[in-house]
Amino acid sequence: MSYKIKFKLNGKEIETAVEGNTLLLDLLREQLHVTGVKYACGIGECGACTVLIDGKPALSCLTLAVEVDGKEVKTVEGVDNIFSQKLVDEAGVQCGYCTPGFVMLFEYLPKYSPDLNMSEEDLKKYFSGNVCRCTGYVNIIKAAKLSLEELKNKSKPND
Amino acid sequence: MGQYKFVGKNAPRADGLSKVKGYEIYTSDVYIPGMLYGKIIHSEFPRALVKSINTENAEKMGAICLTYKDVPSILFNPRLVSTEDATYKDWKVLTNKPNYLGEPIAVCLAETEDLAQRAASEVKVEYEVYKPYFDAKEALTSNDSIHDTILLGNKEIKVENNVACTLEITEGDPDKAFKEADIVFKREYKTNRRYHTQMETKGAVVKPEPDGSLTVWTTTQSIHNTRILISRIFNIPQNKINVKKVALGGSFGSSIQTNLPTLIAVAAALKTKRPIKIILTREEDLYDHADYQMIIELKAGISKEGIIMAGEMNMIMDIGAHQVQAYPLLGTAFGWWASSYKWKNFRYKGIAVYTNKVPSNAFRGYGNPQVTWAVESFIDEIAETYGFDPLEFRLKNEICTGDIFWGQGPTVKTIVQSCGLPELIKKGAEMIHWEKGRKFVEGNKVIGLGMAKGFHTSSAGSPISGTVVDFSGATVKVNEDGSVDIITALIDMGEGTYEAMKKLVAEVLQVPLDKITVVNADTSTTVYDVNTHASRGIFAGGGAVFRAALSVRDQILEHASRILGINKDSLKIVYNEENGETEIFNDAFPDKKLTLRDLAFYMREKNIGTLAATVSYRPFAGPPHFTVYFVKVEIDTETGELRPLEVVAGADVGTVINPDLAEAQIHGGFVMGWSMVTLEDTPYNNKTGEIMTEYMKIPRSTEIPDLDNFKVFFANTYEPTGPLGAKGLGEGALNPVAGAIANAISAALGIRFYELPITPEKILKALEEKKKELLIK
Amino acid sequence: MKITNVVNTRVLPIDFEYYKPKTINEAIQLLTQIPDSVILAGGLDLLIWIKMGQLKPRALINIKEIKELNQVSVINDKIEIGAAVRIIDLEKSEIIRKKIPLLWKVAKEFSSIQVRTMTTIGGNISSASPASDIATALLSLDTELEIMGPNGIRKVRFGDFYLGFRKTVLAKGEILTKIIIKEKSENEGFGYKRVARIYDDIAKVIVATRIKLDSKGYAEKVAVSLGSVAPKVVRSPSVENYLLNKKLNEELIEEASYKVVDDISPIDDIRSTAEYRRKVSQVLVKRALIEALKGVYLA
Repeated sequence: MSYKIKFKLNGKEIETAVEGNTLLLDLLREQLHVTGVKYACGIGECGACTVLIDGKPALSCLTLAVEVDGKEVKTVEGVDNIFSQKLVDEAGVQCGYCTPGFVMLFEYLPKYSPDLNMSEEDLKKYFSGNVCRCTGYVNIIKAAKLSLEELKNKSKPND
Repeated sequence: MGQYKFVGKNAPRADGLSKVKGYEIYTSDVYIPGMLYGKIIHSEFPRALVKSINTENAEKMGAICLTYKDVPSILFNPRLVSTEDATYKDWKVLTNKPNYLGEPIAVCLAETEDLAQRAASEVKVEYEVYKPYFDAKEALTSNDSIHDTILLGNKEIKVENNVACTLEITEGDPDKAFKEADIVFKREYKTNRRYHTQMETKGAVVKPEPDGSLTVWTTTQSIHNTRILISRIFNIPQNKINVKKVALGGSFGSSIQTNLPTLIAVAAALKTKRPIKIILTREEDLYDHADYQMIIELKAGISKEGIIMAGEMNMIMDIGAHQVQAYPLLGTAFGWWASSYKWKNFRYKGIAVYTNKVPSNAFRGYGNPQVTWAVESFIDEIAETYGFDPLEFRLKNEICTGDIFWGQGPTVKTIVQSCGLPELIKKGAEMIHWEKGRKFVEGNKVIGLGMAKGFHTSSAGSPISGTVVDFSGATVKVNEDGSVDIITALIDMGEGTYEAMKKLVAEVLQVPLDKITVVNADTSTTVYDVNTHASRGIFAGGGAVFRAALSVRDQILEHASRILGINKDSLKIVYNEENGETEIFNDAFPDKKLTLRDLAFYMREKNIGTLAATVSYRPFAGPPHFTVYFVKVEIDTETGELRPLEVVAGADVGTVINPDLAEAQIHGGFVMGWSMVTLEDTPYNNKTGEIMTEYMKIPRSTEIPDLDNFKVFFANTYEPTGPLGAKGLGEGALNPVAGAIANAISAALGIRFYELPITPEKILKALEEKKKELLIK
Repeated sequence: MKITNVVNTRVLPIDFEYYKPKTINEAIQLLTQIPDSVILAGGLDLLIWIKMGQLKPRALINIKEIKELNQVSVINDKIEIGAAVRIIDLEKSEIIRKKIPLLWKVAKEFSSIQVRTMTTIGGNISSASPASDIATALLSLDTELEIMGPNGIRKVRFGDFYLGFRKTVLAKGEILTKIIIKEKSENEGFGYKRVARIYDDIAKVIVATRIKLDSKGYAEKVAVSLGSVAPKVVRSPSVENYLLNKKLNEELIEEASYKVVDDISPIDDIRSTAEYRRKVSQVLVKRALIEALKGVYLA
C-alpha cells in the first residue's frame, strides 16, 4: 500500500510516496540520498540512526516513514551546532560513523536541560544510547562539557 | 618536541568537518542509478552439503539469483599479506559445503532491498547435515576433519584431525634450564571469542563500466589487495579493476582480508552487468568475522633471585571454519610471547584448529591482547606467589633497548633501538600512587590496583624479506601554486594517519597544514600499499610519504639553487609564520629568497617540469611501541559488578606526531580492553551452531572512569628507524589493558581468573567458593 | 542472535496497511474489524518483532497522537496518565516527580534518551515483558488500568493485568487507555535498584520497593516487586509479610531480604544465570528497602 506524505526535511518541503512498511531510515538514505544518518544495528541499540522529528530525537531505524507526514525532520546535514566544532577540536571524531548520531543528540540537549546544568555523569547518561567503538567516549564527553560551557556563557546577559 | 613546527602540535583533522556534517561517504552511502540490491543467503546448518538450491520462486518475484554454480570455484585465501608459499587457501566465493552457520551459499539481487529480502526468503535449500565441531580440543581428537583437501600456495595438502597448521620453535636448551630453575610455574588460560562490533557493517558497491572494467567501493583496509584478489579469482587483468578509497567506519582488523560480500558483489555485477550493492545487516556481520580464541599454557623457570631462565608456551588456537591468517598468527603469537620477557631458553608449540564456527581473523592486536593478558596475569601471579616486587620483577626481565625483538614472528627479528618502558613504569607508578597499596576496602566495595605492560610492532618490517609482504608507497607532488598533494593507498580508519602524513610533509617541506591535502585516491592512481594494519600507518605508510617528501625537498633545493645561484647544500627551507610563505634561502644572503610559491610558478612558466616523487618503501624494522597501564577497579562484592575508577596510561611511541589523536587511541584502547575483560563473548549453541549473544552490548559513555581520573602521558624517546623518530600506537593501546584489569581484579578479590570474560556472575560465584573454603579451614 | 534467512534489521519485508485514527473509538473499531492488526505505540518492540520475523501483522494502527491518550491529569488523589504518554514526558513532569516519585525515578533512568522519547508507558506495559522497569515499579504502587474495547470501558488492578509470560488480560480489540496511580501519601518512601551488563541494558534483576510507616514508625505498608526473575513481574509477599507491622531497621530488612527466593523463579538466559539472579535479588531487595526507609525519613 502506497501512502503520500508531505514533510519538511532540514527546512525543505518534501512530497513523496512511501509504502506502509518503508522505514524512515530507508526513505532518507536510499530514496532521498540523505546519507548522514547511518545504519549500524537496526534494533535501536546504538543511536547511529538518530534524527530529530519535531525537535525530539527518534531512532529512524524503528520509525515508519509514513509517521513523519506533516512533521519536521532534521538530520545531521541540517544541523550546525557548537558541539560539531568542539568534536573536531577535541579529537572526538575518529572513523566518524557514530558522529552524526552524537551530533543529533546534542542538538536536543538545550531542550532537555534548558538551564544547561549537566554534570559529567549526567552527560554520560545522556549519551548512553550511542555506541562508539573508536574513541572510548572520553573526548566526546569532553567536547560536550566544553560545548555546554560555551552555550552557558552565550546565554549570560552582556555587562 | 620544541624543534618541530608542525609535528607534535595538535591541529583539527581535515576530514573532521565532513564527518560531523554527515557528508563523509562510506561504502553503504554510495548510490549508482540502476543499482541492484543483494541479499545473501546463508547456510542454515553449521556443517552440511548443499544438495539443491531452488531459486524458482525468487526468480518469479523478479530477482536474479546466483549460487555456487555461477561463481569461480577456485580455492583462495581472502588475505593477501603472506607470501604465496605461506598462504593457506580454503575459501570459496559461494560454497556448496558450508562449514559454519551463516556461510554464504547464494545471493538474490533485486531492485530494492525489500524485494531482495523477500526473494531470498523464497529460496529453498536442501541440505545433507554432518556432525559439527564447536570445541577445539574435541575437533583435534577427531578423524573427521571439516576440510578434506586445502591448498598451501598452489600445492594440495590434506587436513588431518582438523589441524589447519602448526608451528614449533625452540631456542637454547629449555629442558636443561627448567631443571636448573629454582621455581617452575605453570598455568593455563582460555580467552573469549569476541566480535569486532565495528560500527560499519561490511559491504561493497560494484559498478561495471562501459569499457568493461569494474569500479569497486568496499569496506577494506587495503584497496590494492582487494584489487589483486578480484583479479586472481575472476581472471580479470588488474588494469580493468579500480578499487576506490571510501571512508571506513571502523574495522579493527576485520577487513585486512577482502570480505566475502565484496567478491559476491563482483560475481553479481559480472553476471547481471548492473551496478550491485551488497551491505551486510548487523546480524549477518556478526556471522562474518570473529576474534581468535586461544587456549594458552604457560610455563616459566625462574631463579630465586627473580630472574627468568626458561619459558614454554603451548597454544591451541580455534580459528573457526576457514583460515584467514592462522599460520602467520601462530608465528606472531610466538613473537608476542617471546618478546614480552627474556625467557632466554624457550620452546613454543602452536596448533591452529578448525571448528564449525565463524572464521576468525585479526582483531586489533592480532593475538597480542590475548597473549599479553595471559602473560601479564602469569607474571603478576608469580610475583605475588614468590614475594617478588611486581614492578621490579618486570623491569629485571623485560625486553628493552638493545635486546632482540621477535616482533611479528620468527622471520621478523630486529634489535630494539628505543624503549621507554622503565620511564613508563616508574612514572605511571608514581602517578597512581602504587606505593599506597593494591587493595582498598570501602564497605561492600573493594578496590584493586593492577598494572600490565605491553607492546606492539610498528609494521611488520624487517631487514630480510620473509613470509610477510609489508611495503608502502606514496606520491608527493607540489602543485603549480606551491601547495602539496599526498597520494597514498593507505586507508585512514579514523586513527589520524593522514594527519600524521601531512605533518611529516609539512615538517620536511615547511609547508603549512592547510596547504597540504591527502587526496582521495584509488588503485589506479596509487602505488602499492599492503594494508593499514600492524600499527604501520605512520611508521610504514608515513615512512613512504616521508621519503617521498625528502626526495621532493631535494628537487626543490636543486631547482632553487639554479635560480638563486647559491650552492644547493647550503640552502635551507623555512616556513615563515609572519607572511605564510615557504622560503628557500641561505642565512648569509637574506635578500636572495625564493618562495616555494614562486618556484612552483616558475617550474611551469619555464616548461621545466613538476616537483614530485613516488616512493615504494619497505621498512627494515618493525620497532616495538610500548604501553603501560595502571588501572584501579572497583568491585561490588555483593553483586560482582565492576567499574573502572582510575586509569594511568603511559605510551612510548617515539616522536609523538599527533598528540591528541595518540591520546585518543589510548582512550579507545582502554575501553575496548575493558569490554574484552568484562563483557564480550560469542558462545555457540552446540546443536544449532547459533551464536547465543546479542550485539551492541559493549561499553557506553556510562562505563568509563571520571575524565579527571584518566591520565595519559608519553615517554621521551626517539626511534631512529621511524619517520622523524615516530612509531605506531594503534594496537599497543589495547594490548596490555586486559592484563592490567585482570591484575586489578585479582588484587581486589585475592582470586585469579583463568578464563575471559570475567563477569559479575563469575565473580560472585568465585567469592562464594572462597568463602566456603575459608569456612572449611 | 538468529541468522535465518528471514531476519533483516534494515527493512520490514512484509506488506501492511497503516492507519492513524483520530479517536480511541476509531482505533478500537479498526482493531476489531481488521484481522491481524496491531497497535503501533512507541513502535520499538513492535518493529523489532517484525524485523525478527516473529510477527507478521496486516495492519498497524498508530495511536500515538490521539489527544485523550496523551494527557496527564490529577483527579483528587489519583494521577491519570494517558497510555501514549512518553517516558520522557513522565521524566519532565513536575506532577509525576512530586506525586509519584517512584515512577519518576524509573522514568529518568529509563534506557536511552532516544528510547525514552519514543516509548509510551502504555506500550511498555502492554508488551508484558517480565523485565520492564516501569511495570516493576507500578506493581509496588496502587495502580489501576483503564481499558477500552468493543464492549466498553473496564478497569483492571495492575496486579491482575499479567497472566503469564508476555500475556495480558487484553482481549481482541481492547486498548490500554489510562494508567491510574494513587499519589504518594505522607510517611512513604521508595526504592529502586537494578543490575545490568551495561547502563542502558535490559536488567538482570529489577527491584522496586515502597514503605509506608504509621505515626509510631511501624511498617503500615510494604511492597517489594521484582522484574526479570519470573515469567512476569512479581511481588514478594514473603518479604513483605516478614516486615509488615514491625519497626523497621537495616538488620531486620536484611533478614527479610533472604526470603525473596521463595517468590521468584529466575532462569539462565543470554544476560545472566538463575544462580546469580537469586543471589542478587536478595541484595537488591535489601538495598531498595533501605533506600525506601531512608526516603520516608527524608520526606
